[in-house]
Amino acid sequence: MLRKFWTINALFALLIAITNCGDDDNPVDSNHDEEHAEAVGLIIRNSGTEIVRYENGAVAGVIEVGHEKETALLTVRFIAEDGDLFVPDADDNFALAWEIADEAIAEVEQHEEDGLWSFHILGLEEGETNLVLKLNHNDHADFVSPGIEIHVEEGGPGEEHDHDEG
Amino acid sequence: MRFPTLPALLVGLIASSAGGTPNAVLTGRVSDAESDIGIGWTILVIEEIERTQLSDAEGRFLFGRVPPGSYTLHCMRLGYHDTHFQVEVAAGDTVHLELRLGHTPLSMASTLVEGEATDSLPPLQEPAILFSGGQLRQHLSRTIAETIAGEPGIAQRSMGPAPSRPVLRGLGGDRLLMLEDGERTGDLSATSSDHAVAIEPMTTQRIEVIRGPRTLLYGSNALAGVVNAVRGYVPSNVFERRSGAVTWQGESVNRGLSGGLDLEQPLGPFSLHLDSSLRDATDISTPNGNLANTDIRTGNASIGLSLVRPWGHIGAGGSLYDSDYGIPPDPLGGHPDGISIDLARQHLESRAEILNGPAWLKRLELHHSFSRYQHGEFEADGSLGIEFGVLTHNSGALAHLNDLGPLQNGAAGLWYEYRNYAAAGLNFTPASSEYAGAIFTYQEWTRGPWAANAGIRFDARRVAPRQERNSRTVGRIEQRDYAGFSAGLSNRYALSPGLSLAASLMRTFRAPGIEELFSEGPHLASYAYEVGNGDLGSEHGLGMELAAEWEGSDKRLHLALFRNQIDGYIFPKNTGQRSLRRADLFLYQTTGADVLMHGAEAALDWHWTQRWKSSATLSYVRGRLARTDEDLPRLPPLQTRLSLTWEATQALSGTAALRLAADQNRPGPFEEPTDGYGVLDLTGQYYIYWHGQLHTFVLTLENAANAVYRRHLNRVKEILPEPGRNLRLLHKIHF
Repeated sequence: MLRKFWTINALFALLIAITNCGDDDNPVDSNHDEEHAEAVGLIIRNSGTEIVRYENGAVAGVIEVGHEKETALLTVRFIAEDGDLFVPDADDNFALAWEIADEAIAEVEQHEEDGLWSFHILGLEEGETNLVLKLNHNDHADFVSPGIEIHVEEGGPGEEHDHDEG
Repeated sequence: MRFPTLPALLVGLIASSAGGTPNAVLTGRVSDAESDIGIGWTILVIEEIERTQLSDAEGRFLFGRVPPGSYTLHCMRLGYHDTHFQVEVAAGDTVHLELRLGHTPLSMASTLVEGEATDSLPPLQEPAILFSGGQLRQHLSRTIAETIAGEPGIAQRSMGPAPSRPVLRGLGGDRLLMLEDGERTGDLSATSSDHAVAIEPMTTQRIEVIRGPRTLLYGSNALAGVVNAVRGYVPSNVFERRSGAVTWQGESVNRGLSGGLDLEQPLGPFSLHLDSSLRDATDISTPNGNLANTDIRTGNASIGLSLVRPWGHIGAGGSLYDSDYGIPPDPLGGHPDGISIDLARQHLESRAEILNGPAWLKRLELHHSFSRYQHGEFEADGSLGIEFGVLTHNSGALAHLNDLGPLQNGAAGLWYEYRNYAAAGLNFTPASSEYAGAIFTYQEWTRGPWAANAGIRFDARRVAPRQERNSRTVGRIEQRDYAGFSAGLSNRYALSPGLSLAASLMRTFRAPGIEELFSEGPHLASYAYEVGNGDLGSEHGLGMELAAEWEGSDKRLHLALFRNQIDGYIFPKNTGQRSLRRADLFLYQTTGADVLMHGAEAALDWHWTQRWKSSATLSYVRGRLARTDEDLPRLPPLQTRLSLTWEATQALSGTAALRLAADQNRPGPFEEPTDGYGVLDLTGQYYIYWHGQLHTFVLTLENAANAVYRRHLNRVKEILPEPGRNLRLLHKIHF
């Protein structure tokens, strides 16, 4: 009887050990030590003057550009939770990305000399569309803005666009 | 080793004292009541001890190692009426049964030469809903939820075809336990509507829906019930011969093809089980066009080996489940190109059963399992959106007690679970550990026309984030401890033969999970920026049900009224606001609120001639937030299903079924109403014996009229309607 006790005991202990000996490391490496951008808003400046502010869920301001013109250099600054303005360190794989709802009306141009956080809007056709700005980090977006209105009007602001730049 | 060897010690202890009471053998033959020809491939289940056998080609069967006692033997076979037989076995007996099955209840031919056939109420042990054999084949779909969705009270939550999960009486998620062979699956299907259930229906032997106090054997929070997919891949039986099945299924709506193999092989004192399946399907076609990114590729394989001896059995098994599926694009919801999900689960399991221990013990079941689950959600450009990993260790001991006077089928048990959770990608949910334990007992009681069952359970849970911190949105992220009782009592009174009334009362306890407490980050596949709530308390439910059941020679009617009051009901509430960080996503904040739900169910089966049978089901549920009086989101509308079956011959039958749903005009906050619909399905079944094998064919035409309809519980209902006309053919060969 005692032999049977120990045999069955050993058998089930062995089975538990086998079923319990799986890789104890979680297959997913929780990367929370990695710094995500803490952006909760942004501003856009045109030659140093703030023209758009997205803060506390509301967008104030629009981007205006003339037909077949391009804006002066628009610069983005992100708003942190404490209200401070910042731009992330590009060395940490942060980058600015954008989407325009109707690319027939306007498009974004970023020249080499503009830097990572500045760009121009080119007015292609009269009308209104939206610009969404994203703060990409590695392979995902840490921040996505709501649609920021772009108005393209005949005689609107901006410089004549040099098509050869394009 | 992480766990104490208590289960092993228990096995040894009980086994060493085993052998005092010899077991019985239950053998016999299943035959046609009219022709006396043996019926092969009949599924026989001894319900009290969950032992299953398949009769051989001549209808013979054998159950070895049956502890003495009184049992219900449930016989299921395509073309015959499901029949229960009461059998009494004494220690050391070899009981021979001659089971004669009739084609329909009208034939009244189901008889038992030795023992007693029960045409009255099903026993308390029987699941509320059971899908097996021909019924399972007829409804076999891409997921467990879709397979059982036609039953009263059951709806399915979905987000594309792959990640669907059942909803019972309006309750889903963690309030509905999804089990595989009585154990938790270790997946994340309860936490979000884009997460699939890691169970393949093709290699499932039967699907049970359990309600009432017996759910306390499985968990404390199953106010809706328990859905148990029985796959049996760690065998508990001696296989008398090699048997198995090969299944093929094809469907037109997604150009889907799937195949599966089950094999049971005796190896001396060992029993070996193998199963495997593959499923491949392209995008779903709807009457308004293809629903992009809804393709599925799923593979599943299991192996189990048990040593089966007179003292019981001990066995182990492992399974792999891998599924790649898509979530349809939603340009307004945050991912215009859709999300692809890659899900994988590896599962190891050991089980033991000891029979005939001390005088008070009928049998002791022990189990331990380890599950490694991983799933990644990828954007259209291949970049990772979010990734989850969960390691789950699960242990349990369940002692089935010998009957004592009017007390029957008693059980008492312990359960323990450890979860190691991590999330990656743009996500701030902390890696956490979760420890849970429970102690519970269950008992049935019968005297004269009264039958009752009751259970009580105590659960404790600790959720421990790896790092404690303050979060502006979630609150304080720190270790949380929860504990509470759950209990249930159900009474049934037989007013007259065939007619009974029942009343049930359930109190449930549910502790919030890691995700509900500490989630923080965008979840693109569910179109949400999810924010947990570190201050959540536990959830307590009080469920009441009144039911009446009448079963005549050719009719069966079931009516139920229920009321569920849940204090601190935890759910992700759409705030209607965009996330500041991700303005493309709505902010869903986990909230606890008091909820009141009530509803009704009805089911009627009527064999009105030998050849014609009709059935009707009806389900209704309504839920409101008690404080604001708002309607609860994601509740199904009033639904009914009407069907008419023609049994042309014993082997050939055809069914026309009409699924009807009313408008859902009571949407929750920020939910859109959904129009009602009517959908016609046609099914034909045929079986034939050929070269010693049983071949069954099921041909189904779903949505025969190619109706445009949308289901309220489909998160992508606004994008495109439900699948259009679908021709599905299933061929299963039993050998």
